[in-house]
Amino acid sequence: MQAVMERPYSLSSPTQDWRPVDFEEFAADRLPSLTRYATMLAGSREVAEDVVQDALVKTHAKWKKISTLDRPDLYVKRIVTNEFMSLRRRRKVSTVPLEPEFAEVVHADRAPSHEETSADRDALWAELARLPRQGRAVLVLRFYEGLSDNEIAIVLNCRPGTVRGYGSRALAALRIELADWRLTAEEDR
Amino acid sequence: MTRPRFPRDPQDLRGAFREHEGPAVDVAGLMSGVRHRIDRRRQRRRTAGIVAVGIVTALAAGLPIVVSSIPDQNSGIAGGSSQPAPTATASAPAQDQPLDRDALGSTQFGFTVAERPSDYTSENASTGPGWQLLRLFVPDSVQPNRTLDVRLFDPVLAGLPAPEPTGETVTVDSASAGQLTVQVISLSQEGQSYPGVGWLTGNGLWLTVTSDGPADLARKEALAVAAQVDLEHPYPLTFPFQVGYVPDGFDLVGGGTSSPLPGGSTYLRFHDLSPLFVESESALTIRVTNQPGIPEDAVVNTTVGQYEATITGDGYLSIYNVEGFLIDISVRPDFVDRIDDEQLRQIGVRILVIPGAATDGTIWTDQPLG
Repeated sequence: MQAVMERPYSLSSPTQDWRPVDFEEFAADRLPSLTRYATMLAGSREVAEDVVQDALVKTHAKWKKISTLDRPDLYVKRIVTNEFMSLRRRRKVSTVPLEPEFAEVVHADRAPSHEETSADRDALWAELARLPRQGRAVLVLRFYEGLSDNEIAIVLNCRPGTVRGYGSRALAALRIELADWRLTAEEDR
Repeated sequence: MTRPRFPRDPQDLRGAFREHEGPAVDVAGLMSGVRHRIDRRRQRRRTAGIVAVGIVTALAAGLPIVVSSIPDQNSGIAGGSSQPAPTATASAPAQDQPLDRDALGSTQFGFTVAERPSDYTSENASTGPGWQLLRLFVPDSVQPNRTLDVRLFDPVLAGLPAPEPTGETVTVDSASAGQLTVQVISLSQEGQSYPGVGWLTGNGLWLTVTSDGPADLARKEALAVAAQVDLEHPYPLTFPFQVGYVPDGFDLVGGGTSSPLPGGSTYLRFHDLSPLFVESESALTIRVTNQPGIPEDAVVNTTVGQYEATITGDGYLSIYNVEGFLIDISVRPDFVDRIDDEQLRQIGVRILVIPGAATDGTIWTDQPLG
């Protein structure tokens, strides 16, 4: 049986006061943020728009139930994430990196120039595209959406410990140094 | 070439995300697309299985069948080809009594329709938690995809809206129940209302017959089909395969058959029945499609036993050309941490396919769990 997860969010948070009553209203309100979220997951606006539209169709089919949930936003984010995870599962995913592999390491013994920073972000973006999808989703949810481990666990339907595992492996693959994974969520708040 | 500086820090990641947010989102355009897809989905759900040719009838009592397993050379789970094939005995329907409400969600079907409408061409049968659906295709020149849905369900268990009676009742001559009084209803499905008739059965379930045709025709057809519904003789759906293993914590919640032969597809769905799950979509689906060979777009990267297969690493295993069938085992993405690749293989190697079932639907089994 699935372990019962403690509800991780504060009941006094602003989202708790918001109660969507109409699917159209909800969808129009959430489309920009969902599309940007999906863009971070899929690496492409075009794919993201496709993913979000499919996810909203599924949301519409279950709207009566979803609209009664405490956090419909997290639930819909879960649907978007599932859609992304399901993309082309049987076929090869053709991800074209923006830059070739970087074989050598430049140590940070001086401040990077603007060009270097920009190039590294492009390189980082390309490396993100090669991560396992769960790992990429965790990083997007943490560092772009600013969710806590427990909230990410709800979106991915797994345990917070699993979230930390995915996140740590993904960070290691990107060679991002982080003293304590748990602190980053607090930094964001 | 400019090279990245290592180690990076989280600010680099945040920066990379921000730089790739893209232009402003076209809300109006996307909403239009969403509405269009909702309409298309409704249409697709009605047209699914239009080429189906009818559900397999029940097996002859006691007819023994031999099923072949898939010995796995990679995992060493189910023994090699020298082992004798497991045997399953197909049996006649286990009961001939009205379906108990607890059986909703199994692959027992709780009703039959004694006589199909004259313009009927094909049908699908499917079951899920708290519901059973027989979809009859009755095309005409105006609506080539017109359907009549016969449902037996518990609105609470199924998470479906209860039928809405109009207040009008009609008495029909039932083929199995004598004079039967039915209510004229409308039934909401995915935001649309469908006219029809319905009544509460003896065990508190709703039996509804609805149509997506014009209102006057829908009423006439629904009344005709309602008169043919027989709740006294449940029957089992049949399958060309048996499942020998699923991981702990997952239960059979339903199955279906879109057509027997050829090109038909049958499936079983499993789910974790924890009350935390509000989704109706199942965690694990095993679909067996009458499709020989290997699909052109398949990327074969492993074998399961002697059969070529694709395993994606994220909850999807396809095994090709098993006695003329394609086996797809899929795990919903949010369950892949509970059903890993090794377990997928275990599920795969313990599926038993009935030899000859690709061409002979009469030897399918009504006991899909081996």
